[in-house]
Amino acid sequence: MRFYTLNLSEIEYLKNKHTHRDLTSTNHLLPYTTINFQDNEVWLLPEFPSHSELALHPLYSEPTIQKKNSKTIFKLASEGINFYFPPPNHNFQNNSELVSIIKKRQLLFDEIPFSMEEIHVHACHGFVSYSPGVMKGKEKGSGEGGQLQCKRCGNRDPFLFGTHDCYRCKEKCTYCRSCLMMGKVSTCTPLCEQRDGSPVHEVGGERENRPHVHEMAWSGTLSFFQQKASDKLCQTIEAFLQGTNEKDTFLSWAVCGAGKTEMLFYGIQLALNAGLNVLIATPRTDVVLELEPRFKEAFPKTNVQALYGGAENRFAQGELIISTTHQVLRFHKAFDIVIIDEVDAFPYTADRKLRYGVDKAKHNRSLTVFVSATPDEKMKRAAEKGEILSVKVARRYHKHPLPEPRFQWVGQWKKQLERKSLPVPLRKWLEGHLASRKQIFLFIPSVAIIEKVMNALEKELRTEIESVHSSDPDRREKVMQFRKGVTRVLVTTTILERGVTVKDVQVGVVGAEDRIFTESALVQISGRAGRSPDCPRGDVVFFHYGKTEEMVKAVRHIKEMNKLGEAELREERKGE
Amino acid sequence: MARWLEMVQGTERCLWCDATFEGNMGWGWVLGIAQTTHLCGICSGQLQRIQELTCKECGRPRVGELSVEKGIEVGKNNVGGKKNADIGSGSKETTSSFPEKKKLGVCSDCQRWKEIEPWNSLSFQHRALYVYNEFLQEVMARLKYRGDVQLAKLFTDDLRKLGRKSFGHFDYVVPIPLKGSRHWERGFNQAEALAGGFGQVKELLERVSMSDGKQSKRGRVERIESLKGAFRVKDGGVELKGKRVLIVDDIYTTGATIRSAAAELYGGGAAEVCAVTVARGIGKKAAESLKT
Repeated sequence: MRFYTLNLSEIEYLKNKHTHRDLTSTNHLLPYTTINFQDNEVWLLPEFPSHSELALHPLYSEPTIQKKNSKTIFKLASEGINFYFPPPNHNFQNNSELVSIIKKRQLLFDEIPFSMEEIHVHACHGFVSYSPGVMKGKEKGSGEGGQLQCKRCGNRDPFLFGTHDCYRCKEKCTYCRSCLMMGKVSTCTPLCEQRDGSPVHEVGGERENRPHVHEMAWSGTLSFFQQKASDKLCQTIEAFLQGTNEKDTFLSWAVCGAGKTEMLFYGIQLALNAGLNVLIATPRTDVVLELEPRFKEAFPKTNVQALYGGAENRFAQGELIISTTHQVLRFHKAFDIVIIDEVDAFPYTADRKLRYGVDKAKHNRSLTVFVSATPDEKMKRAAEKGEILSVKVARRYHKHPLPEPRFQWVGQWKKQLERKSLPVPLRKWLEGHLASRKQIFLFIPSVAIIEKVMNALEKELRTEIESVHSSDPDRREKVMQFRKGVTRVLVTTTILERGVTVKDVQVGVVGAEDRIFTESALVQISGRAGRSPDCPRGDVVFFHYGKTEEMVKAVRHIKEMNKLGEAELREERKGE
Repeated sequence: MARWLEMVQGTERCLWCDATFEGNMGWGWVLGIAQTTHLCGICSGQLQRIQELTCKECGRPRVGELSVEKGIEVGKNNVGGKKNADIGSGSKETTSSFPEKKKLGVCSDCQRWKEIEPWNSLSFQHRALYVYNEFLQEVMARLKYRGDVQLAKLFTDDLRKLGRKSFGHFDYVVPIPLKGSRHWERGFNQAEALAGGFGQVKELLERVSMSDGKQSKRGRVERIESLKGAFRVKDGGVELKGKRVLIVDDIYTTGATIRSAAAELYGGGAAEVCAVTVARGIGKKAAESLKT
């Protein structure tokens, strides 16, 4: 779409003229006040589509507007023009649903279930402001004018932009292909947001004076290790409330199966009772769905909202939000505390999108908490150097060490699969565990070989075998069958490396030398075994055709964690 | 610069799944005669190019013995018992793929069109690139409803070639227009984007009436009814008399939309009107038999 720009004198001229003609009602497309209108600012008047009635609005036949050229918001912003938005008009009968939807969010006109006119009227009364959806970057070395960036998802990859003749702006329009599935952001698309300068909410205060509305119903006991991490998080949040925290990033490095969700409960309760807005963000819908009931149960008096693609009410507001990466992108300056679960769970690009989204969703002053079993090198180094606050939880809540993976060379396993047969060591391993009634997770490097693996397995084993991959429509159902124990062997790509907990499962990685199996992926995969206190041991084998650095690093990582856990365990016993 | 490097190294990115893949950068590419591919092997393998036809008019594809035996569901409101006979006999005569032999028959759908004005006296031919299978439905949905216009690139070159190969030279290429409000809602016209490979595109038609609701939600009879007088040749346009016109659209299901536009162009004096589309709907049953 396009906008006409009006300066202060033009607005005053139009307002007077129309008031004289007793056409006050037609002024509703102009700001209700011009208080604090700066010299370098303009008011944006949308050009309504020719098929809409508003295109015939008397304002548009004014010479002031007729002689102007309308422009896209991208062009206006690129020219360095500032936009005026009035402060909220509290005498205005606003549409409370619209105001609630836009609160703390950044949305497209197309996403808001109200007409363009109604949205614009709310802009006139200071409840909505516009900003460009796509902008040119300003960073160094990006050439003339900089490369384009989607302001909603942060995408800068030129391949992930498309250009076409746009019927809305009648120009060549460039759109972001990276977050397209959430609605199209293009160079002529404004993002609508809650106008800046809405009253900042008061946080903190003395601990004793805080209301205690967010009760916690969780009655479990934290293990020694969990308690340590929980206390440190609470201290950090308390310091944040007092404004005395030294760093605004906190890393909780907890091994797979450490019980990290429970470690968050006390910290979250503290934050909620102090009036902070808390977000838990994670790349996966699966994880959101898993966390939602646990938090709802733990905080029965709190408005907990889970946001993910396909959620019932994607514009719901809550005190505690659990959201996927994509839904985070719709927020704008909304949270004081952001907890990021398994940051590294996705490839770099998706990760970058989450980071961009989180940055945008945070208030200017905020605390970010990372929870991960496999933080990346950069974060580990920052933690070691003390650049960020951190706590390590090296032992699972059941106090048993992590199963340490073994290596097993299997030669040219791909060629063997072509012949519909399994490498002998792999077959024997499978048969051995199946004979002792164990279930098996078998990880493979790519979707492309699923069929071959399945053929070979079905030929050689007499048992229930199933396979899943990320775009499998029956994914949930298949995982359910495995959990129930109906399926005995589940062949999977790396989608199941995190989050899925099945009691007493054995883990095999076929083709562990593949590039996709990074240290963190292998650590996560190994972390599927031995999670239950009843069966804390598990067999983890990397079947490979040539050991890789990543495989070695993964095993070293696990061994180090076990050693550290051992030391902490001694400390605990001493304490007793 | 990065793009250039990618080309030399032969690594392309798939326009559909964004995976990187080895492009076909042989000498043909250096000499500028090989086409750049936009899809990776896995994605392009999911497209089903239409090779053999069973109807010389609408270009109905032959979808294998199995589906012919089972019978193709020809539109929802198909009446009359001999729907499969035509398809069967037509397909037996075809022995080779493109360019098809003149022996091809006419399917029952087209027979029925020939009983209605103006098709009793006018010719109409249509060809499509691909069978409208599940994968292509996803592609078209992202292109049309999500507005990923870049995906039109997957088809523009091939549509131009299909037009040339099947029908020869054309004076004008006309995309099926959208109604103003729908056009605004989408921000673009998919037919126009798909016609991007042709040089002689002219927006000769406009949409004058269309009852509410999308075509894809209607049955055959409803479609034909709702499309009566849906298009009009624009005033002050070019001279149509004696010209050959090619219509471009995204999907051919019953042919009602395209025939309605074609009739209007004939009415404006066109000598011959043909059509090309990306996707050819083949009915639910046939599509299901294809899946297995």
